[in-house]
Amino acid sequence: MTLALQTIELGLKVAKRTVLEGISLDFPTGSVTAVIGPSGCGKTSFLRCLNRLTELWPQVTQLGQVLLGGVDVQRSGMPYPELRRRVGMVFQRPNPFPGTVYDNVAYGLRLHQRPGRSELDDRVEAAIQRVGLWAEVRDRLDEDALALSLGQQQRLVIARALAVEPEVLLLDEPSSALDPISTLRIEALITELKNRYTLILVTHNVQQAARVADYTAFLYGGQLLEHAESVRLFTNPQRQETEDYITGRYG
Amino acid sequence: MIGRSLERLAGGALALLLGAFALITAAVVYQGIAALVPPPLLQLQLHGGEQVNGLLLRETETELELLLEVRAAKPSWRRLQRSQIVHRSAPESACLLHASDGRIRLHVDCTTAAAAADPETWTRSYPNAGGTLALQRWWQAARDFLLAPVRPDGQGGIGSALVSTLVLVLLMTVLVVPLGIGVALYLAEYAQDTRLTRALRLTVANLAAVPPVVFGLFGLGLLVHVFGSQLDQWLFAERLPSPTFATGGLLWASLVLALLTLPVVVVACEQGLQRVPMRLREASLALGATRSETVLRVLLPAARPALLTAFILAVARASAEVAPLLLVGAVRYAARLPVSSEAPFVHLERPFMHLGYRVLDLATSSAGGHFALQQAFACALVLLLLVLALNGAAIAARFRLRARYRDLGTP
Ligand SMILES: Nc1ncnc2c1ncn2[C@@H]1O[C@H](COP(=O)(O)OP(=O)(O)OP(=O)(O)O)[C@@H](O)[C@H]1O
Ligand SMILES: [Mg+2]
Repeated sequence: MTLALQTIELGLKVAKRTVLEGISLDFPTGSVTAVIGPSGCGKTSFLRCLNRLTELWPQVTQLGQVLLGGVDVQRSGMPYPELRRRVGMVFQRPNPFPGTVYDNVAYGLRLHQRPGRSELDDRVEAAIQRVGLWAEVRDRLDEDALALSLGQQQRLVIARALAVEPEVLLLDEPSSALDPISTLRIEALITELKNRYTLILVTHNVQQAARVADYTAFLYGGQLLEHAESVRLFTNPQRQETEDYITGRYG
Repeated sequence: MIGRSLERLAGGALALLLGAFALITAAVVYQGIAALVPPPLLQLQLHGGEQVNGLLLRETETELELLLEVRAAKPSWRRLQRSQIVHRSAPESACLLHASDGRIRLHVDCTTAAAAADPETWTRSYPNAGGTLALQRWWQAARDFLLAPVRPDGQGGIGSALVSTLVLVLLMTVLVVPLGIGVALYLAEYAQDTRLTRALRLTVANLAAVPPVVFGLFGLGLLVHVFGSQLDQWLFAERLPSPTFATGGLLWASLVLALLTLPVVVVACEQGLQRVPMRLREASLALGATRSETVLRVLLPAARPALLTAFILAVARASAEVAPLLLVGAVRYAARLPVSSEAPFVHLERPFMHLGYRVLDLATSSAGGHFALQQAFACALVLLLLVLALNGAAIAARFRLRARYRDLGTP
């Protein structure tokens, strides 16, 4: 079993306050790992450590190691743009760029490879196909992306992230802003994508984690309390806090 | 209770403001157009048999003021009491002969031999004629106002002043917009929130409070005398001692205006950039874009409406300034335009005429009297139209963009 991504003793300090501490997690290639935990426990911060979006916050220090395909990101001096091309991210709220559906998906491709027009067309179509949005937008490629429904926008930004062929995809509560039907579609999409990509899914929805994730990590107060195969973690939690959380005793 | 009176106060202030604005605009438009309609040529019969012919410049309850002729740039006037007049008429055939050097002759009957004049020097117009002739006359006056050659005393058509003003403002825009966007980008995107950047931001804001004439002095002292002299020694040594860049000219004037308008441009651009939602930056960075790619492909396009606003503010501000320009290149009379049809097309070193200066000059000149004041209004009207045209273009562009970026929402 190869590891697409691995963290060793990962920590994060924001203005001297410890947000994350000592998180060591393995993400096997082609798996889905859910990260769950109460609000404010550091789930979003953890994801941002993985693609270094933490650098946008003032006064942050990131500790520990992140290994991408076995290579230490920090020590190898990998430029952040390269890291982020290989570790894609989908945000809690859909955030398409103002501009057409087509330009949104082509954005990353135009940055990195600058393919010719027909190749670009093909790859944009392939990315939109992969998220099951093609039938809905094939006639609307030149329309404003903001005119799509929220659920469509979220699948569009997933297509945008997939278009640059990342190895790992980080999903930060990708369905929390969506209606139940759109949520189900996203879940189906995650299951479809998991063999090709390594997915890390932050979610507030315990059932969702149980449905789609192979592994689940429970964060609590910035620390990793438990990490196991989902089936095991949800049926037989080792820690009292985990049990309290998954049975809905806090939120 | 207090809320009520505050509301009335605010409403009153607004009404006052709008009223004043409407009044000024109306005055400029009315007087400006009136300047283009030449006064009637009157034939007056006085008590005692004397006959007077003259252009009616001003008429009050009791008095008439007439222009009799202009000989070698010396106008002769006559003021008459209404009570002196026995008979008053405005013959259709009366004509006005106008020489390019400013001389004016009046004839009550243009068909006579006395009125036959050399058409090379004298242009003829019929101030009292009606119908198509009246239209022609108006057309002629408007054309003269714009296209007649300028004379060394600064009188004559305002066309070249208009062109020069336009070139100056456009050049200023070319300079200030990239500079302003650069500073705003630095402040909004790259600068850390340190004491230094806070000081920088404060300095830029305070630049807006510096009186314009100080910018003019700065331009004269530093740009003209220091940079200009240096440039002349390096590049135009063969023309010395006659200065090329070491005297006021288009380049220095537009630089001074650019510095003058920099604060408004920076503030408007920075606000625009800050209003671009954080999640768009994050989306771009998360796709592997570098910082500068994010700036170029996401931030600047999304901030375009604000950048156009900055342009509008800069143009409005720059077109209003005269005082600093007097120090760095605006002149009453320039024989040549700062632009030409041959390379290098724009002559950055040339002094230039300016509509605002022309307004000032006409309004304060003692010679022209009422006539000159009307002309000043006409100039002001043209200046106003110029600013409106420039801003209209920017506003139209912003409208189109606004429709597209309306859904961006808040950061
Ligand atoms: N932009 C930011 N700048 C500085 N600190 C932040 C920022 N966002 C979050 N934090 C801090 O990081 C800590 C963890 O927040 P985080 O958003 O990672 O939690 P979360 O588990 O994602 O919560 P939620 O479930 O509500 O999204 C919080 O204590 C918060 O103060
Ligand atoms: Mg979160």
